[in-house]
Amino acid sequence: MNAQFKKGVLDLVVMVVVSQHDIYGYELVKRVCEVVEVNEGTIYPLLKRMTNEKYFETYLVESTEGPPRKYYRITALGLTTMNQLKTEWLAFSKQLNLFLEGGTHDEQEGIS
Amino acid sequence: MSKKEFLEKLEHKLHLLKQDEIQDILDEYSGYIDNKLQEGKTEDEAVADFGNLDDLAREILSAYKIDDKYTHDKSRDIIDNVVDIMTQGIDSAVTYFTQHFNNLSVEAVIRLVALILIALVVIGLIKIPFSLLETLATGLLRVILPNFLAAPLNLFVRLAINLIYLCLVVLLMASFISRGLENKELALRDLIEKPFVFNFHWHHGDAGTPRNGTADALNPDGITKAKNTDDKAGEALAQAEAAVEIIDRTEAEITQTLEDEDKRILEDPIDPLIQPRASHPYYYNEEGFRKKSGRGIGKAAARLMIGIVQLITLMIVIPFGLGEFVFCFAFGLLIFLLFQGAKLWGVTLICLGLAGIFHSVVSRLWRIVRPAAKKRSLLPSLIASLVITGIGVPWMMVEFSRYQEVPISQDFPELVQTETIHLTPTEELDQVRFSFYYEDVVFRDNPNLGNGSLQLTLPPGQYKQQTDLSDSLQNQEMKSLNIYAVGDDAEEFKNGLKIFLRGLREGKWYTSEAFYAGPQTLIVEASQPTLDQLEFDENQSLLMIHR
Repeated sequence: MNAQFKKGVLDLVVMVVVSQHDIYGYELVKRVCEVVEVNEGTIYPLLKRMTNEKYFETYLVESTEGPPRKYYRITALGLTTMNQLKTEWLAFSKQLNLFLEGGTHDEQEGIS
Repeated sequence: MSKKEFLEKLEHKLHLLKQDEIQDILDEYSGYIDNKLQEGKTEDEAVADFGNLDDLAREILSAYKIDDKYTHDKSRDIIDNVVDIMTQGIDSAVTYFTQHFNNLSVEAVIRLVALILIALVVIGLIKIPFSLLETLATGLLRVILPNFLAAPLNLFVRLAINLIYLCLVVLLMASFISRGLENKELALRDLIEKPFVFNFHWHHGDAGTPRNGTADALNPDGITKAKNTDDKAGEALAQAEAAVEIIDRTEAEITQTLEDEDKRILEDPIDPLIQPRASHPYYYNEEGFRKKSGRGIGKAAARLMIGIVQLITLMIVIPFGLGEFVFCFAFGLLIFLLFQGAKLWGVTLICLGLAGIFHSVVSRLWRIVRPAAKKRSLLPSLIASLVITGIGVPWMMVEFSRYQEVPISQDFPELVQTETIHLTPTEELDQVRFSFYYEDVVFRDNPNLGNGSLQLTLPPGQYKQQTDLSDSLQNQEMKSLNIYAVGDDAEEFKNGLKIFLRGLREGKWYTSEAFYAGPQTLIVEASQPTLDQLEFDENQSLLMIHR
């Protein structure tokens, strides 16, 4: 699968996953990989970046199995950005699909 | 890589961040690794899941808006490179061999042993031309250069030759051993025709490591091809040529591949996306793992070669760098002398030119040692330096040839040079005349000698001085000085006169003032006479100073 495609949507996918419920790193990677196949080495820095940009916030939870886990929660800013990205993506992919099916919106109207 | 190693290396690469940030990140990744260990992976596998460490670190740093361009820790580049490669190589070699030896039959073991013996013989044979080369080179150097220069250069040359030989040996052994492990039929021709074959059972399929692309860029083309296709004779030959080419590779190619790698990394930072694991990322990929270790040897060998070449180049760079420094220093010195009056244009230009040439060489070689991000064109400065040197050399020769008119040894004779002059007997018995011709003479009774003075020291006695401005001399421009000794001392004067002559074009004379303080000392300042302007006539009775 094209790397550029994946790169483009990764932000959005991660944000959506976190927005569904608070989640910790390892589990998040699993969930994201169900949608888009990526190397986890990419996701962790991305999480870090988004946290730095205040889209996520983190908190630690003691775990019985080992060291405390860091959980990610989406912030208000993150939610807004996510919705923005979502809208952009939907519009963009719609446009692209139309284009691939042959002609722009106007042309189609002309044919039919 | 173990968990501890991974965390240590990561910590080093993130050193730019604040300590508590770094600790935070390390804890996080430690947690991720632990999670995976719980799921049954080994430390090696857990670490490998993160992909390439450099890329990971870069990604993390970019989250802090730290640009890779400015943070790359170049100071540890070479050492990191070589050490990494060596440990990597050893690790992969060990895993590879343990795996393969399990599959070997007795026959194959015997074959392997035979191959190793043959390899040893071949290595011994190859040593011969290298030894010859070594002896020739050292002998030549000893002839050309003076002893003190020759000794360190000799050492260096021998070291370089031996290193090359060593690399050759390593490659040879690796390829021979790999053949032995193949369980294939071997003809002796095979050995001769394709001496370098790295057959590590490459398969089709997805790459085992995310850094596949980069590794390919690093390796010579031949080995890369063989990795990605089935084992074919044509490929093997290409491999052989390529492997040999590693050693003969020109600096441009090496630099190019290294620069390509850098460029690739910079342009495509989220590299791991390109080559995800073939199967689900979390589960142990046996095939990928084995491929990885096999590939490791080839990659390690090649990277070792490149590391060694870089080391050799570094060693070459050092004397050139020193030379450049020396010439720049000399240039500065000559500029200073210029202001002091010694106009040595030719030598100055030469120093400038040579400094430029050496600088170009150093720059070019340094680009191998550390691949630079931007390509600076060296050609114009090199040409300019050569031109300057070309102008300087003949100029210097002209200047020095001019000096032959007044050789330095004549300019600075022994402090006291005595000439015995026979004197003209005069009609008066008690007078002896000594005369010489001169132009524009200024008489000073000041014993302080300046430029171009002619100093006569006469033995104690009574003298009269007569400046002959007579018209009887044919040449109006010439004047003569006659000195008469009168009285009892005339006899002695007659027999010989020691005249202390010093002639200098420029500079100061050393005198003992007390010696010349007496009134009998005449100081004649002629316009720059030198000793070769002083001439005795045929009778040895007249000392002449002329232009």
